[in-house]
Amino acid sequence: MKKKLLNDYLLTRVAKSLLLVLMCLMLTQLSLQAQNISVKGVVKSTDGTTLPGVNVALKGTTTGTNTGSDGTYSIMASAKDVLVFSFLGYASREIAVKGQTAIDVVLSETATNLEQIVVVGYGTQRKSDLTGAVVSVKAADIEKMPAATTDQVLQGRAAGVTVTSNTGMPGAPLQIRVRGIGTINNSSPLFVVDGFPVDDIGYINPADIASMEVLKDASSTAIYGARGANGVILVSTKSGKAGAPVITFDTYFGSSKMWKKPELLNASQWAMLKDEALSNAGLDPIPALVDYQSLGQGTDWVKEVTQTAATRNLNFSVSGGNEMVKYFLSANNYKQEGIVRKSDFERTSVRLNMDMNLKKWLKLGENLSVESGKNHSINEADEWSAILIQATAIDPVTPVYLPDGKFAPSDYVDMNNPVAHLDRTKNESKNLRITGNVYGDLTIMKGLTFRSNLGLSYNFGNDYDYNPTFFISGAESNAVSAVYRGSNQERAWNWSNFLTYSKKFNVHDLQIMAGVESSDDYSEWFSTRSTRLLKEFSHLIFISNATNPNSTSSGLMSEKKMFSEYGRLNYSYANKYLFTANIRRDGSSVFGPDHRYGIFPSFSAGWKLSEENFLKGNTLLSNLKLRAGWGQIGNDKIPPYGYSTLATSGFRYNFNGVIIDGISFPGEGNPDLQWETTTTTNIGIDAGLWHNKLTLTMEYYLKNTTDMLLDAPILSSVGMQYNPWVNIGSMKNKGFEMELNFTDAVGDFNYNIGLNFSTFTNEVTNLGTQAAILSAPLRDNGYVTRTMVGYPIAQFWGYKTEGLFQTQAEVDAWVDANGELLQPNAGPGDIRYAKGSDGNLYYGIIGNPLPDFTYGLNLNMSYKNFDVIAFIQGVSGNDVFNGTKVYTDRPDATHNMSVRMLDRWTGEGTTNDAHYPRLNAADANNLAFSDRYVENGSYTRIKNLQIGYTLPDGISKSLKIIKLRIYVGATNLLTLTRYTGFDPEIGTGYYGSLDLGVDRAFYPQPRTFIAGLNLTF
Amino acid sequence: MKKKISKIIIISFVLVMINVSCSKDFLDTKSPNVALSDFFTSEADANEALTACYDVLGWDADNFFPYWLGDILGHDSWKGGEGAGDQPWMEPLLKFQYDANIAELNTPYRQYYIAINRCNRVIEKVPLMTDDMIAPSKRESVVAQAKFVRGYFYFELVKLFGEVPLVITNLTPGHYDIPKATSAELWAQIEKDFTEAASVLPMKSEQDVSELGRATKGAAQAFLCKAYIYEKKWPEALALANVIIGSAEYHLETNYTDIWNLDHENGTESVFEIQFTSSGTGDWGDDNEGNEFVIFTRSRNNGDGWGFNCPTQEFVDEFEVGDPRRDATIIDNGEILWPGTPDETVADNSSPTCIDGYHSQKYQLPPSQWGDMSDDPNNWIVIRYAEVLLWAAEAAAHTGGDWNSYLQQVRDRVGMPETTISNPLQAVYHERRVELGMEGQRLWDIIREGRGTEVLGKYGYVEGVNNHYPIPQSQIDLSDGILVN
Repeated sequence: MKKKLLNDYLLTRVAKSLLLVLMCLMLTQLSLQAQNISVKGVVKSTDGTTLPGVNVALKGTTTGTNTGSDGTYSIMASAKDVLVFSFLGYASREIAVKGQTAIDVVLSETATNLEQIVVVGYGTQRKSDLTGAVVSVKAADIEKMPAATTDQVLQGRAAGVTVTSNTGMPGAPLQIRVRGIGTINNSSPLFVVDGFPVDDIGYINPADIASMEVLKDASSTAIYGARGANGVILVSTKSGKAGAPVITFDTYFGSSKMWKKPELLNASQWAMLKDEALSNAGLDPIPALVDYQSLGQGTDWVKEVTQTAATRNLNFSVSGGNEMVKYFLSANNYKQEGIVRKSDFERTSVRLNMDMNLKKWLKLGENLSVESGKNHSINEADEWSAILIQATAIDPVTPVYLPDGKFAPSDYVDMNNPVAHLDRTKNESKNLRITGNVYGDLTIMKGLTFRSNLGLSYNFGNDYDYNPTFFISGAESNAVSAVYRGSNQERAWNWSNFLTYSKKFNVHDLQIMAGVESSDDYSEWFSTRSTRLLKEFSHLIFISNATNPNSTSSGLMSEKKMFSEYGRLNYSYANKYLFTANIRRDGSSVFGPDHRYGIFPSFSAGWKLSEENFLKGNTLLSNLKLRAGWGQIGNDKIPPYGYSTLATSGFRYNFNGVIIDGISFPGEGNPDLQWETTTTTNIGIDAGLWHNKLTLTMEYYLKNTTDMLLDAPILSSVGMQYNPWVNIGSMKNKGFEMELNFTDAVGDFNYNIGLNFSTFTNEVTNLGTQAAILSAPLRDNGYVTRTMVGYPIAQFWGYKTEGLFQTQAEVDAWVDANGELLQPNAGPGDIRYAKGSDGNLYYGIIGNPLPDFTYGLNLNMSYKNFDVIAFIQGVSGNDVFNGTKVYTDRPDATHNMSVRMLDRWTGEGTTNDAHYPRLNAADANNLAFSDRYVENGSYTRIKNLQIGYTLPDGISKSLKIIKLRIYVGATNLLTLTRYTGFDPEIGTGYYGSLDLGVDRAFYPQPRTFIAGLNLTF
Repeated sequence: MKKKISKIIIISFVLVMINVSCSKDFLDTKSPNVALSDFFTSEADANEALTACYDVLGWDADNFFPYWLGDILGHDSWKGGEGAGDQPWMEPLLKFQYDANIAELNTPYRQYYIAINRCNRVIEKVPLMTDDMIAPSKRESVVAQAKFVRGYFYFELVKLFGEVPLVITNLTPGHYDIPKATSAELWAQIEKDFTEAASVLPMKSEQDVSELGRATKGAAQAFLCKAYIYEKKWPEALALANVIIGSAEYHLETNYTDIWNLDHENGTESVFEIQFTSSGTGDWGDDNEGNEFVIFTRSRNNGDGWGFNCPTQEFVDEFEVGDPRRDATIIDNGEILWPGTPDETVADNSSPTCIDGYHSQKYQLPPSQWGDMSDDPNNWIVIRYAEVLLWAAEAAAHTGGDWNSYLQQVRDRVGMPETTISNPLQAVYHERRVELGMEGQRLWDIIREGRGTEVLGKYGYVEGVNNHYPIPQSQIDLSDGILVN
């Protein structure tokens, strides 16, 4: 595998180099024009520091260069030429050559980063004019994080944005939450890429991103109406700048490993405990385990299923253009092996973005990305048969292989051999995704523009699976080979048309935007499966080689459409008082005909105190702004057709040996389904001190969600197979967020410290007639979480432990008010569950998966040519329900156990710790969900640490490159936690937003060491 | 300048108009599945909906508690399998330590109500169909069959869980919280469903061959009779058993072992069978139409068996000397199975968990008839005529009637002389144990006979506590106090 990776890499590298050379040749060709004199000079900023990387171009041509790291440049020009100096964050300057051979230039910063332009819905705004809560992440922040996917970029970057991974599986999407849990339904935000709303951003190469804006409050997101309730993340991809082409080549290589392994019993320890459990239950001993001391270490199953995995990333881009056409072109290949064997991911993507100024009144542009992905995944995150569950729970006595080389079955534990399971896993998914948008800007008159933006996305997915015949034991066997093939395609389009009018008169600044939009998301899939392959060779696993004449197949489509009208008004008076109003009316096809439309308004205002006379010119307080807003936004994130009762076929039975089909209605439609609405009030303050060396943003918000949509579990006696969707109740979130940024330099030492902090409280305020919603079923043993009025959502529920019964007398004395035994199945050594106030066993809240607060710390330091980046992220105060303990801490010894269980109760007075009851193979007391499974989930993690070195200018120049930076780094280098499971980073599980903080042995985050380089020329 | 502006305005206007104009019917997306409102318009629809009711009968996981564990939990057989760690949830149940947190209790509870929901749908919707959609006789037949299936599942729910919620309509949102019904209410509904089904359904002899396996009048009467037996309504049970006997629809197979032969399925002795057939899909469990019991109870050393359900010596000793049913019921270790055929097999029952070295024989097929994995073709016999005779004997024994004439019919078939047990009830109990041995009835027989403490007390059975399983904890939790154990 590794060798193949290396070969692939070498091949790709050769191809890449050739491509680079070709590109260079072409671009030099283009710039060979009549030039006569050489102009040289230095570019500095107002504070006198030299500026490297400044674009120096001949106006109206594609000819140009960049300044070196000492700020100097040299360019051939004619006397008539005009030089254009441009640099991000600085005002561009144009200087006519007029025969000069030395032109030194001073560029002034475009004020501070407050003058940053941020992307907002259907337009842009100066950051200083914002009245809502918007966080921006720029390319510069992204470039130094070796992110595999775009969603990783957001982790820990912005206050109030939580990014968690349920899995460290290569290529798996992350879970992004803006401002806590807005709803008990799907809380993921809306993504808008270059104006085109999409469901996920996994297909985007992180290196292509120019900026990401997170719109947090209603006044910012209301322009997205029905889809903005859980925040909106706007992604803008890079575009070219006029001037000489800038070519970049970035690459890194990495090696990943599991950062922690659970401590499990070895063979002789397990055999000893197993024997004890059988004996305590009065069952016969297993002869092979009696002489437990001779069994030794046995098999380390976790080690057997994991590996040291390789990662590599290759990225290439070229951008440039002239006044008329600007382009950005990139190609990327990313490959990652999983730390659990047989899992990997590869993505190859290309992007072409162009902007064209065709006429004075017409500008056209496009963004096009083609991405192809391939991954092999393993069974994970289901608590029954996930590979890591199997590796954790199978006994250590069983060897991987029998002496004859065949896989060994476990004779003692009801678990498959996980190595054998991996060996026969032949699952592969491939996809090809083409996403793009075309837009046209028409200037009708000064200040009035019309934009039409059409986005299109096609995704073609293919799945392959194959189950060979094998026989390990009667229960772990497959007599019939089966081949599976699935295909899915999704197509989406979105078309928006809007007018923007801006007008400044005197101290009034007005901007009005109004538009319409329609969109259609269509998806379709089919799958087929057949059995009995002629020959089981890996190149023959196709449906056509299956000899069973009866293959099974199925397929379905699903479609969601929306139509919307929207408008916005921005007004500012004297650049001091700011006002914004939004309104949007949305129609969504997921609701029944009578409930399709919703109207979503918002208002917000800002006051720039620092522009007032009493603060203007204040040297300490360089910026101060107060903001407040209110708005309502919707949520329609449920599957379509929930309003009608629909038939499903395939419920077969046979009469006289002839199988016939049956149809049933496994769910019940709800024609009254309607929008979920979130009403948010936001108060914010932005401050800058000492010329904005220190910037501070604080936000406080109140968020009320009503008519929450949920498919809550219902009583089995209703007889439905699917839980019906209902508008079930309301909840309240209150939160505080803070971002602090400090930038300074001491001599050659530059540093930047960014800190973000967020906290929120959540309370369910209404659930209609329902007293509680249960969720997170675990191993069919019951539901772990309960959502009730007056409490935060998804509280862990169960018994409280109160030590262990030491004697039978204690069991007999543990009675309720009527003298009835509270735990009739218990014996000495079993857990005593605490009593509640009514004298019965306490059965209630035992943990809270919501954190007290989350935080992120970004450090950027540079000294001369060295730079160090560190990014630390953490959560505090949350509980995790360690679902793996359902196996590893079972007192009936039916599976392998944690070494903790060596401390079990073995007789009166041996221990009173309820975590370690007596072993009993017929246990009917200790398995109930209790605080025994609940652990503190707080952690602090060094997510990224990087040390880089940039080549000095002299060397760069002699190599004819602009910049070369080499670096080494590590991700997930260190995790501080007391959590005993695989990884404390746990988001929501299989069962949606209310399946929170329940660990089902999720694929842990790998610890990765990387080395890489960034090259610009 | 003016011209250019108008051109731009026209372009903008046209684009907006196109965008807006498509909005009228734009949001009317059609569902890719048939809506309930478009269903129940033809005989085919009614048949499809009815098949989904029967479908649940064949879900393997449904049959564990009522049948496949009946002998293990009744201690006529050892659990077997791999050991304590194989299906470990059975261990506390074997000790009669019932715990509502035992996850496996969810399966029958949840799935029987799924079947009941499907039946309720048919019973509610099919009667509303007009004569031009479905012939009246067909309409009545479909509804009667659905009532039969509903009665069947309520019977099993009451048998397993005692008092449960009684749901006989499709519930609408907001009205799901149905409390437990009393035993009397549940039995009344079960009797009503079977009575109404019996009044419509055809006799078995009137059935077309292609209909074999569907509910019949005799089957509905037999289930009603079984309900009377469980309710201890002896006179009613005896009277109804006599009706079934008098119908001459059913006869004992001449040869006892033929009852389980594939070519005698739905045969003369069969009153109601769960229909299984090999579907050949190469799947496990409920993804096929086959019977999982066969692989479940097959020896671990013969083929791919899992080796559960190993008869105890105590059970084997129950057979009278010379009773041919012993050999028909028991596979001895080393016994030659299917001698003289290509399937000839030497039984190898050696396994530490197969404590007395026996396996059960009735449902074992010769290897040439095996399906793939758990996809075996043999039907599960729920009621056969011999049991009807034994109910008659039991009811007669309770009411002072001629119990022995019924009992002796069963013994005559296997050439056994009159019973030597003088106590009529004891004679019937013995006969049930040997005639119906390893047919999954043992635990439920002992409990309904009121002999739990007597027979199972030594394993931990407590009368009044272990008569029924607790309602699963998840249901108690979901009900918010409406359901209690």
